[in-house]
Amino acid sequence: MTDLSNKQETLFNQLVKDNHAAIYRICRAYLYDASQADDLYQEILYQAWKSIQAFKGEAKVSTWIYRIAVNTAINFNLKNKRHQHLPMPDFFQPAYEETLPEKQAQEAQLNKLRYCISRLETQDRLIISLVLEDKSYKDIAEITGSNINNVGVKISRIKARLLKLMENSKQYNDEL
Amino acid sequence: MNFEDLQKNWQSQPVNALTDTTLLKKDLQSKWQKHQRKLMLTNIFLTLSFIVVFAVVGWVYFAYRSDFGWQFSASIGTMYLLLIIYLMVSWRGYAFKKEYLDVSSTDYINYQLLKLSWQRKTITTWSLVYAVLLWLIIMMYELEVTARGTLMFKATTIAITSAYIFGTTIWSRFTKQKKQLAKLDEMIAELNNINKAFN
Repeated sequence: MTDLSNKQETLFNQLVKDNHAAIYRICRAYLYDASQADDLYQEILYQAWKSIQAFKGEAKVSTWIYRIAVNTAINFNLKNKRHQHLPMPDFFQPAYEETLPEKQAQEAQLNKLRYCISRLETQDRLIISLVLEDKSYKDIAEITGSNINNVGVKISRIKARLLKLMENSKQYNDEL
Repeated sequence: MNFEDLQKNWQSQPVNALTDTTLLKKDLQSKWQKHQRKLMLTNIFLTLSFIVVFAVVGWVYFAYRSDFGWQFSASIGTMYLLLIIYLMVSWRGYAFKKEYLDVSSTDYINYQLLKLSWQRKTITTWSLVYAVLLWLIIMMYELEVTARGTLMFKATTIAITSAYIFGTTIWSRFTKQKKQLAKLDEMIAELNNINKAFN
């Protein structure tokens, strides 16, 4: 296991190159705390590294890596439950003054989005992280093992809940 | 505000993740080697311990069987039974360490639920089986060594030993094991929730 074949090593390199951003964003969607998200990112890559020898190409590479990412996230959350906490939302904190106003607005919006995602249920955070990555209903059904007919209904409900949370936090922010 | 704007904003966020595969591979390799080394040492330790215990118990039996009665043989037999049950339970638990993360989440969760239910059974059922077998082993040994004692003496030793074994078992059941079971139940409930939402 310690020595991957050249083919597997090339596949791993390509996998990291193509999917690192998506994996990182899934971690950030699943865990609000940035340092925990970093730990989860490392764990996902470790699990991918361990599993790559068994990869037979039966599933698409992207489905394969997303399955590892989602399952590792589920496991990580179970093991680290004691350390989970919801800190004060970053969007209540002022942005750095030297940052450009547009950039500040974008960062504030992003922080708000992260916080609102963190208010969703565990399973909804997983699904929305895949939706945010532009995954199709079919892909999401394959990754999670859900029934494709139910996926659409669930996604619509989660999107509506997220938009409502964003609206509510906007009102709260305006009041401050 | 619509979802597409949120999605666009989400995908444009800066990614502060390590992507240098040369550095990554070095870390992953070292983590893997540490894990393998730990696993190997645990296996060697467990295997050697069992071989030693099996051999010593066997030696004790063959060396002293002519000096004692049927209780001695029964005690040794029960000890072997205890060791075999322990070995089987450990092997089953060990088999659960092999996980496949590249399956669909519902399959993965079902496997985790099976594993947690096994851990629950180990705490609730098997620990009680160990306690009863251990009690039997000691009881038979005590009957053997107190054979010449008075009835009062026999009863006192049996009562003290039984109180100690079952007392510690019950105490552990309501303190340490209670906490372990609560944690397992919490994990099972969470996994069931996720599974329900995915189906």
